[in-house]
Order: sequence, then C-alpha cells, then structure tokens
Amino acid sequence: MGIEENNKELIRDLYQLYNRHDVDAANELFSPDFHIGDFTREQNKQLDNMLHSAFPDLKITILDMIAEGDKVAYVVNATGTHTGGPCFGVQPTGRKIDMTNTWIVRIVDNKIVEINGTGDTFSQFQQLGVLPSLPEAIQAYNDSLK
Amino acid sequence: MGIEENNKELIRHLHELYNQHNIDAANEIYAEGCFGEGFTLEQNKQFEIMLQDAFPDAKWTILDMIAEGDKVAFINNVTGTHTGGLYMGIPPTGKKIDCKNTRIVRIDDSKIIEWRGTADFYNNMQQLGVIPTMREAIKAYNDSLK
Repeated sequence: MGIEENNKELIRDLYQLYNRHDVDAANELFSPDFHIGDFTREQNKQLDNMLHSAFPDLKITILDMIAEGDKVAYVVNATGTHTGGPCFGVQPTGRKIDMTNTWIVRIVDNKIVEINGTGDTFSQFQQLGVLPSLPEAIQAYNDSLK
Repeated sequence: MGIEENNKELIRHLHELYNQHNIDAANEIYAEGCFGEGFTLEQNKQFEIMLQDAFPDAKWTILDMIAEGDKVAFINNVTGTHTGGLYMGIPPTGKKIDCKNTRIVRIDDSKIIEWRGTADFYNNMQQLGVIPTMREAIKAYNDSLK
C-alpha cells in the first residue's frame, strides 16, 4: 500500500474513532506538534470533547477524499442533536446541526501534523439558533440603516 | 504532463481569470450542467458577478492544492474591499474581507463538472459587520437567558 492509501486509511480510522466518541484514541492520531491555526493538539482535544459532549449522537461521514504525497484532502458531513452539554458556551438547544467541513491535512509517520481548511461555523451557529439565517442577517442589517 | 498536473494547471488558470475579473472566461472552465454546493452553473456565475462587483479589488490566492485522478482539492483565500455594489443585499460597507474557502472539484476533459466543499461565510459576514463575532454572539445569547 502506498503512502497515499496509508494516509487515507488513517483518516478513515480517525472518523471511526470519532463516531465511537473515543476522543482519547482519536487524539492519539495527532502528532504532539500538531496545530490547526494557532490551536495546539491539547486545545483541539478540548474542542473535540466539547463537541462530543454537546452532541451525544454526533455522526461524521466522509463525503469525498483524495490524497497526494503527505497530504489528504477530504469533505466531511457532521450531524448531531444539541442535547448534551454547552457548545461554545451555548446551553443545550435540542436543535439538530448538519454541516459540511473541508480540510487538507498533512501526515508524517502516521500522525496528523497539520490541518488547514474551512469549517462551516456559520451554518452551525445558525442551526443552533444563535445567529440569524443569511436573509435574516441581511434584513436586520438593512433595517438598522433606516 | 499527467492528468493531475493538467488539472492543477486548470485550477491555477481559473484563479488567474478571477484575478483578471474575467468572469465570462472563468465560466468557460465549468462544464454545461455542472453543479456544486446546491448551486447551478448559472447561479454560480451570478454569485461571482455580484462578488466581483461588490469587491472591485477582489484578489484570489491558492494557498494549497493537491490532486488525485480526476479530482483536485484546493484552499483559496479571497481578499477585497467592499467599495462597489451590493453584496448579498448588503450596501457597500467599505470594509475588508479576508476569507478562506476549501473545495474538491472533479474535472473531465479540462472542464469542472462538480465541486464540493466549504465557503467561509461566517468570517465573511463578520468582517462586513453584518453579524457579530463568535464571542459577541455567544455573549448575546447568554445575556438573553438571564
């Protein structure tokens, strides 16, 4: 199996662990030097713990994945119901989320060292009812100018 | 040059055309009937026209790109100043945007036939001042519960 197939397999393993809500084992797949933006591995684990606690039925599906050299790019869909703990300080809303995130990760020696890409934070906050929908946001903005 | 390098070259060319604000030529790179993220080709074109009109200095930069078979994954960064026309119904704010989008596109016969990924509308709308920052949003939500 070439490096690309190995690396894709690592990403599949990662999401299997997330779907079993085994954040500790998932975190083992990240290098100690890992970072996402200015987030460290420890901070990333805390974020994962918060998400799994907030959405006890969190389910993540890989929609598409390609690899080249030491990098893997993939699109994932996450669904869940906010019935557990707080999410970013938002108390349980009972609402469902359904969001698509797209990442490119770099893998060295079977460990993820870096993640770059785009998370759909906008939809997530909309679906939790914290932020208005785009038309509502625009309407509110226009009203404020009157 | 293999298919992967050809396909990456097509994506570089697409971004060059965006940076020349040549939407018609950029649109020629998409196949008839292609679709992505719930948009048709015609809707995608309308969105691009709106974006370029709203941000006359819009500049695209490819931050990362990998390819496998008929697919290319890339992260791009868009910067611009909202000094032109309406954007999503929002009148010119004079504010700067700096957003990252991540996509996987499928290419057939040197045309994009499908795309999937995540656009960073959250930072986009925050930077235009239409929605609060995540911190402000969470604080507003928590205050509303008091």
